Amino acid sequence: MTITEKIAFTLILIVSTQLTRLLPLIFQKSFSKFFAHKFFKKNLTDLIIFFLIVYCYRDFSTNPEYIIRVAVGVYAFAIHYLFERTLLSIFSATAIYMTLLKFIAS
Amino acid sequence: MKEYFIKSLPVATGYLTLGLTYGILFQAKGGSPFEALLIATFCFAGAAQFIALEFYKADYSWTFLFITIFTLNLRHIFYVLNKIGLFQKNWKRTYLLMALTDENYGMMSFYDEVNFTNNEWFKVFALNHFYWILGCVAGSMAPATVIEMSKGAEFSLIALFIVIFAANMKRKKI
Repeated sequence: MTITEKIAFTLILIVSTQLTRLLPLIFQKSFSKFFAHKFFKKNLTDLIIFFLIVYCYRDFSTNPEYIIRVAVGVYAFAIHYLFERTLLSIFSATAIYMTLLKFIAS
Repeated sequence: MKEYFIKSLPVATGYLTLGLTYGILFQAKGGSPFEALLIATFCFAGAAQFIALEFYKADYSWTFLFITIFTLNLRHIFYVLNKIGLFQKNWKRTYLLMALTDENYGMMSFYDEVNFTNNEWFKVFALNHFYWILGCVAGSMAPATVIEMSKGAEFSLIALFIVIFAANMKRKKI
């Protein structure tokens, strides 16, 4: 990566993130009106997160690494749905994934 | 100060560990501690920082990076619109809204009955912000052995998305 690309990376990351927090502050009235629509309130966050999950699983294959990734993903969903402990779900899932990865590598 | 510290504790554990993971992955991709410091301080968005790692390589698309991060962070619009009424109008409100991450939003909703002024929320948010910066920078300076040991740690990103999704599903009682 060149230095320009690095600077651009940092700037784009900062600007695109903070825009989503500053725009509703600046245009409070019109944003409240526009996003008061039921569909947005209910489904937008879920849709975005769902597509992100699909994006993380886009490299579909039948190698053991991918199967482990799917299995641990299902585990993470189930354990969070049952216990609602964010840290427990994230870190137990990550630990299991890391252990299984080491296991198939050896 | 003790009261604010205790309030920030649940977020602290999450931010320190997630921040460390981010720093380690960022370093593995070739990032420097200084960049990690800048990004953690001014971007301050967990999921966005993680997904942006995919772009941290030569010849990435600037437009695509912008669109991805902006779309991913669209949910912040709801966070801001939801909490803006709780703050008084002064410069600290701008900081509080710019630091309104998933975790800070969750924490504010958790302490629903607490009637904090801007000044008090400012202290809690600043502590959380500090944990995140500390985690990211420490991770980006971690020695090579730690990076070798942390293979597979990138799953925490997928786990984070799945957890947000599962929490939303549960809230809707599906």
